[in-house]
Amino acid sequence: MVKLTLLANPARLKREFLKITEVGSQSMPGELAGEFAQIREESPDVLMSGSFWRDFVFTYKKHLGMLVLGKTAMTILILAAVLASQNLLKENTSPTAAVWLLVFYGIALLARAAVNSWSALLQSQLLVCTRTFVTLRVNAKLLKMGQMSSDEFSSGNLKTLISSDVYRISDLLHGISRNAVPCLLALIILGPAIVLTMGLPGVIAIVVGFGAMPLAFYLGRYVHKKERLIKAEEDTLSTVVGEWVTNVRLLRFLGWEKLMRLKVAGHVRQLIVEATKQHAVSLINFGVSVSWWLFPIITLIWANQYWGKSDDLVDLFASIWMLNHITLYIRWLPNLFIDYALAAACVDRINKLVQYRDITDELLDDHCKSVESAKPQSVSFEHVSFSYEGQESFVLNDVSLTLSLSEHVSLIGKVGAGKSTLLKLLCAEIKPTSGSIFVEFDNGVRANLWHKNIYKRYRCCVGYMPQEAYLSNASLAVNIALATDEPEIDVMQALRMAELEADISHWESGLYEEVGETGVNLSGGQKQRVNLARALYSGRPYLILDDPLSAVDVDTEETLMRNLRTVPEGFMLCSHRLNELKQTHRLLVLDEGHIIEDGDPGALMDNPDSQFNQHLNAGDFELENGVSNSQGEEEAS
Amino acid sequence: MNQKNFVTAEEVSAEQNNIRTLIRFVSSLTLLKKVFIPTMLAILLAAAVPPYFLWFVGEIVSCESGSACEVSHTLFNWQLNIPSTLTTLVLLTLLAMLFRTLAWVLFELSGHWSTQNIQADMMRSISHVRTTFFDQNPSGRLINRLLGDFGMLRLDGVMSLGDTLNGLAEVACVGVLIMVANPVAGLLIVPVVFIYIALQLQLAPMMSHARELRAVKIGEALHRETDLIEGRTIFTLYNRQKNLLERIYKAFGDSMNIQLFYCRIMSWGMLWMGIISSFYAIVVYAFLVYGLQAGLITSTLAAVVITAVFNLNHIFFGLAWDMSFLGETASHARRAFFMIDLPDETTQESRLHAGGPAESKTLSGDIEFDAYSMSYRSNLPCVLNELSVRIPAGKKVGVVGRTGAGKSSLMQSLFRMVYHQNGDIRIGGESIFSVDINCLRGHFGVVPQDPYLFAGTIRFNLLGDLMDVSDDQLRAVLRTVDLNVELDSEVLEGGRDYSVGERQLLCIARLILLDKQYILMDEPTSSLDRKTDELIQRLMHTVLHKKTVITIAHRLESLERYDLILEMSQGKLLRQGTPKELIPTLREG
Repeated sequence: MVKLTLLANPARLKREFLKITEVGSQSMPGELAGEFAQIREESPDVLMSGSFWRDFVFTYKKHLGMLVLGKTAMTILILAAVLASQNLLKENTSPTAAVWLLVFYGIALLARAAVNSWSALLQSQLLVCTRTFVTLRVNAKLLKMGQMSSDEFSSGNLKTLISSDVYRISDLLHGISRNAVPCLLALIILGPAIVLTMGLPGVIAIVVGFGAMPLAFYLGRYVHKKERLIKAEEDTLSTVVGEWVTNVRLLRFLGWEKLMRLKVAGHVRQLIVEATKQHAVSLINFGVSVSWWLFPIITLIWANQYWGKSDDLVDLFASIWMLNHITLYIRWLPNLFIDYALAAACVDRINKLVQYRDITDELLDDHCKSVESAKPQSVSFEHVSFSYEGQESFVLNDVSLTLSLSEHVSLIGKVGAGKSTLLKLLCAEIKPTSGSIFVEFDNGVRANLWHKNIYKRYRCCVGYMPQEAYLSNASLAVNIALATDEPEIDVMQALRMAELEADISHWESGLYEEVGETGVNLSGGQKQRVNLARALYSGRPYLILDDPLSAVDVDTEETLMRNLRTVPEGFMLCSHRLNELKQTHRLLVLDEGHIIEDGDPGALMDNPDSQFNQHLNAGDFELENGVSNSQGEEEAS
Repeated sequence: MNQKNFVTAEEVSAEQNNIRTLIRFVSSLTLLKKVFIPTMLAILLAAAVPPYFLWFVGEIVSCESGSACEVSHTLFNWQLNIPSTLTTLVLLTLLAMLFRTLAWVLFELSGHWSTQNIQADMMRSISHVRTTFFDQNPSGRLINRLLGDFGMLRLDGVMSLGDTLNGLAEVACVGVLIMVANPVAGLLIVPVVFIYIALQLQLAPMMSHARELRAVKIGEALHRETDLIEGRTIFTLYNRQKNLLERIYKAFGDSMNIQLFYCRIMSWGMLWMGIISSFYAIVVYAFLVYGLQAGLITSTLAAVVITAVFNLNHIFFGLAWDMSFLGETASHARRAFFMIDLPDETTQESRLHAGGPAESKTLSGDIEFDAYSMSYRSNLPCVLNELSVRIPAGKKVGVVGRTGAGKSSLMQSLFRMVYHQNGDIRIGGESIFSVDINCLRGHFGVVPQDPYLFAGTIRFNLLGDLMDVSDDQLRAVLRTVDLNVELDSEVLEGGRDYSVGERQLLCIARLILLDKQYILMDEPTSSLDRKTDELIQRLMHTVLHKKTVITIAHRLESLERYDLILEMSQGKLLRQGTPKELIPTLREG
């Protein structure tokens, strides 16, 4: 741990700090700590009114207040230093008075250095506040939401929102606290002082101080516009370089490196040309606005000759000092408009997300009867139809069906028949567009699944294995238990049932082997088995399985089906493999959103006139005969 | 594991001399070097004009109203009389703007332009590095090195250098202005600048270390956020929100903690820099008080100096700010140079041969593997193990064997992309290790298993770096392989708008165009449509009948018309024979 005391020796500090990889916990701004404490609750109840700025200011009012206070103190200290210097230059200052003024000036200056560093600390903590504020709210909202069909909230967009868009907001806040607030304070505190000493010329000089803003604003817009072009150019470049580094061997086979080099160089050249144009304009912009502070001085001297109230040289200079302090901040103000435009887009998205309908909005009130310890026994679909948001055609159309939750049911249908949708409806991931789903419990209660208490209870009894389940970039154990610190023995048990034991015996860290991002270190079959282990680990009595064994070889499939028949009480399985279908009690055939056949699998398969056989012969089902897919697994291991 | 290797290689040099890296960076900016003198002049003038302006303000203000005042300077016996009027001030302001812009434009734009060379050097180096380097480093990281670091150097890197120079010049010019009032006070600015630099030298590495730590933690936090964003349905279904949230906020809290520490270092640095510059201001004031009281300076001059001292604080902070990015620039530059300095593949490809210049030769004749052993990296076990086999020129040879038997290593061995452990490969009696590597590779044409087409047009993918081929020739060759596509039709990244068969045919078309002597073909594992398959077989015995073709085969049917079949197992030749001899036994196995 590095101790950052006031009088720390920087050289030693550096030596110590460079050795460490963890810093001890730092003191946080009070409100931030409060937010953190609150958020650790299971249902984070953070302030979300749908208006970002209001919530932000409200949450961090103390922090923001202190920041403004700090900046005010700095401006007042500047005024003090100006007054001291002004008196120092007065002709009749005695040596003793001069020394005292020097001391006063020194104290003001040192105090300013202290306040400056303190407010810089507060200012830089704004980044932490912004990131925390956004992350907490986005996370709290996400937890309440089911799947989102909106493109605006694709996972890529959400990730960008949390990881990079949030910096746009903090950039704006930083800009405001660094330039806009001090500028405003300087106008409020120093402005009157200038006007008092100089009169009208003071006012004119202050106005002239803003003179470079229109040009800066205009040029800034050009720079901003070019930015998009440059971004596109950078994207192209990264596609080309991406093609290169992922196809190195191919390029060497072809002998195309030189060609690719020329291609890359061409794109780099284009990028540089565009960026040079952009940069040139912003340099001209800065060149003008950084030197602009000289104009107000000229204006002050010039106006003073005509309308001057004071003929005193010292007054004139005191005004120049204060004027310089104001113009110092003006030059950065135009940037704020661009910062604001960027941040506003991001804030907009956050506001929209916060107001997005979530699953809790879909729930009905509690059903009158309690089902707290009851067990669901059957589920009935009554005229259930479903269509995805913004689409007119129904994926499922008027499905009525009763399922006993102790049955082994299989489901087949061609691609797009609505199989996955049916399974999602069954596990209440999505709500029917029309019609209702009823659940019957063993205490006799039969109620709509979407009542809050029914939903909660029912969801605790089903396990769902989606077709392509999410794998977390964490250890295998975490991926199965979906939590840390779960009993190893239980995880091993689930692992064994999912036939993963042999796989992990080769792994260096066994159960704690990292699976990599989206499970890149696993083969297709292993991924499926991890997901199965996850469903089995949950101990849920009813499992909903969406094509669970498509990438598993025949022998493993046999064992897994045996385990599935014995471990959960019931399951619903969607599959393309005949031998899996055969091992269930009941087979549903789904076609174009309707259930066209429902019966004993054996009987349906034997009956040549059954819908099942007709579709099978028409080649609709893409049945696999269970070819081993072991090659893929071999490569991965 | 691989990531760690890469990072350690980088970290080793992390504490090395930043200054040396920066010097190398500056010296690689060729255009900037050409305009160096005017740039320096502009920087100096841009820094000098504002203090001169302030001094001039003093002259104007102290000028008795009504009388015509003049300021005269003597430069090398040359008398310069400047009327002290407001017009002069306006001119000076315009000059200040001009020089300021010029200083930046000259430095930053020329530097920016020159960074192209650094990128080109990186790409050049990448095209000669061993292929296993790419297996060891994730592509995202490499793209980040090749483009991300370049992007940072291009703008921020050049800017940090330019701004530091500008800042130093400004401080020096203010020092000169103070010297007018009191030489000692003016000169004292030199030690102050040195203290600033010394403090920066301690702080900057701390800041970049903190930034690195933060990046690692933010990466972890992002993994957990991804769990929530992409996997939330599964976490909520199994009621694991609480544990997930805990892990998210643990990772997030860690990253924020480092951020907070970073904020503290920054404000600590600001405090001390503020104190130093305040002390300097107080010292200058003390000199002014003395001067005023002793009647050595006019109050106008004192006022001018005070104006400069008020600004000095900001100039100092600006300088510190710019300098703090120099460390960052150095680390980006170091990473770029790491890429540029990667060794050439031929220097590390063999246990037996040292790399070095080799001559270009035309090879022809049988390909002979003589007790040849190879592995992918020097410290890995051998994949091909004492393989001895002769592939007769002009014949069609099929290679079969299980996954991992070393079939595709055979191909890479001929291209010298692997680590040569023992034995030799000869073509027509000439060891391939004695031939220039590019020349050697030029002898082979490859049809990969899943041919990747590059984003662009069919023409681009067909032509590559070929010159002087007429469109008629291109169309003719497309007809030969029975592909009915327009030369200018667009190809998406990877060629995903074309089937594997079409992509293979396009590769073959290219090989016909190039007239390669040796053709290495990797069959797709999934079956091609029958038409394409038959076409490829027919081409082998018509257009390509004189060529040596080595096919890594996955289906026995396609081998029936071959001259020779090699069966490989565990990096060795298991048996060889004609299709008649071998296919029946292979069918059984």
